[in-house]
Amino acid sequence: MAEKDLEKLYPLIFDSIDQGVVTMDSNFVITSFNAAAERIVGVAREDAIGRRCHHVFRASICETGCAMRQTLETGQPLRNVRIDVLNAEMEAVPICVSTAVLRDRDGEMIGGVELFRDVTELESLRQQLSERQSFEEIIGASPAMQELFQLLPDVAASDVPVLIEGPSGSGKELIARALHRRSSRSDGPFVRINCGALPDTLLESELFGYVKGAFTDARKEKPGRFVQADGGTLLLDEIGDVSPAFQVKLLRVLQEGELEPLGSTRTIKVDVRVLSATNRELKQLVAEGTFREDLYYRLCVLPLLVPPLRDRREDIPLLTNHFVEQLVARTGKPIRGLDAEAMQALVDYDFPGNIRELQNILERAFVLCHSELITRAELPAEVLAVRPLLPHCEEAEKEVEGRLKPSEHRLLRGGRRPELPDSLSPAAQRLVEVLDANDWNRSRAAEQLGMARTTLWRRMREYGLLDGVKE
Amino acid sequence: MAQRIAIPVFGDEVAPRFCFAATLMFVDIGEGVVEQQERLDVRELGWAERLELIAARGSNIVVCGGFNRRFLPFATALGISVRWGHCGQVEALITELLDGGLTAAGYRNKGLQGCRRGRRGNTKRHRGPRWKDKS
Repeated sequence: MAEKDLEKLYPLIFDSIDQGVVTMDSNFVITSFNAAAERIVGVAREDAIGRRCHHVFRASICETGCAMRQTLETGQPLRNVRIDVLNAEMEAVPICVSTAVLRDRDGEMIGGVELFRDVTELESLRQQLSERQSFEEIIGASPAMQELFQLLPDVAASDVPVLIEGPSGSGKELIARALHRRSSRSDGPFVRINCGALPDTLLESELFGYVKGAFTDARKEKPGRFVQADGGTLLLDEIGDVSPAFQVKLLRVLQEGELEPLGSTRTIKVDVRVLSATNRELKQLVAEGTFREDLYYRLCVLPLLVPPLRDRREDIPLLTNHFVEQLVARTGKPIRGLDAEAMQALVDYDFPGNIRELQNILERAFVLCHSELITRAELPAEVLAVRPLLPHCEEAEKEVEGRLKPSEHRLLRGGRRPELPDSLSPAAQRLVEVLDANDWNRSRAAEQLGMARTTLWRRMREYGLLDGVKE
Repeated sequence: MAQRIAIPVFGDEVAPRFCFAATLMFVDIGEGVVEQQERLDVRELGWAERLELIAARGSNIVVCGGFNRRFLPFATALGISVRWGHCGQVEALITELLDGGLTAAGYRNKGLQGCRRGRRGNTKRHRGPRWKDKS
């Protein structure tokens, strides 16, 4: 085919490409705009050509880190940069952009070409996947949480009492709320009471209510939480903290489904589904004799166990991204997430306060962060200070240490500077600098480098830093 | 009484995106003259904080390039009216404002209005090939 005929085909090819293709000169003025670009951005070709690209695309990176500017400045192409643009209706459209320099036949740079595709569908699939990794507001992809999510719909559909066990901040109340929302009682009220926070007398009046004159200051009748929750769900939080005396009163109400408000002889029948939650091991309390066995079996028809966050570390990035999204929506700060090191620090942390602690850490980071990504600098000292190893890592470490020569063992634990190879790679040089700064104490160096001691040892061996050690 | 208008700016142009603009300019316009101008660095503020700042500074109009529709209810709740779709030189926009360019109600500046005004020199110079015309 003659070149002239081929040139006639170019416009057709250009318009039949499914991706948006835009060319611009070195002043970022659009010189061509294909049909897919028109469709994605919602701007007609006639309106786009001749305008500077940021007028047309209104992308999230126009001011902060224009991909095309970077390409034109460095001559390097960029691939699949995930950004969003505003279409003519001012709706954000997620796109993936690739940029490259455009050169003439003599190799002179005449501008750039930008290829982009609409990833709305992809994002929607990602959203569907994320929905699979959650139940109502509870998030988790770990096997333990997936198992829990499989149970929850059936548990919610039933009307039996449920005992939710898990450490503080692990999301027991969220599960209780989710069970209520998915139950046939969802139109009724959801009432929660923290049994651990109230002394017996107050707990009794709060739960069962009282009549006027029942005690000093009882100036008018007050319905209890049981009555308030009639037709709905009552969550007895921190149930493991109630006294044995109160356990008897509670048992009676649960057995008979009726109660007498304080100071009244009138019996009130209530229709309440009772959920209870505790951060203590109730079965252990039963064994110790501090919790009534009959009440335990009354409350724990269906037990649910929420694992602590340290036992499902794979959920930490998922939860982190979820909270980041929530915080972005709430604060409006243009923060995209955490950089790899900060995320690793979170994954390695034990979270004694569980999800609540993670939430607080991220809220704090949002206040301190002034860039697009949260870094280690915005994380609290306790997260960075300790770098606990996962159980399987500890095992691996023991195994590695078992295979060490005595000299290597000494080196791993810390000691004198060995003879070093003549030439070191930049990475090895950096390792030596850190080791020098820590007097060749491997534990301290590993901590400073943010890696496990065994990883440091492996790197040292890789770079030949263990070779100079004499047995 | 002067009307205070908030304009997110990008260099000497109207910023393409309200929530990513590094600078917010407040222009007080009264009796056909600019009474006062002020530029604030807002790069560390999120969109919600930006709108709160605008309301706190006594402005109830934002004139900008792009404005994510999702944030509109929040702006409305703060009593702020958003006129989007502007681009080009800020000075040209201020001239338009002085000429009473914002008297029309609603979001008249949908799409790309005002952009051509921002271009300088021979407009044909930057025009690329019109593929359909050529074929």
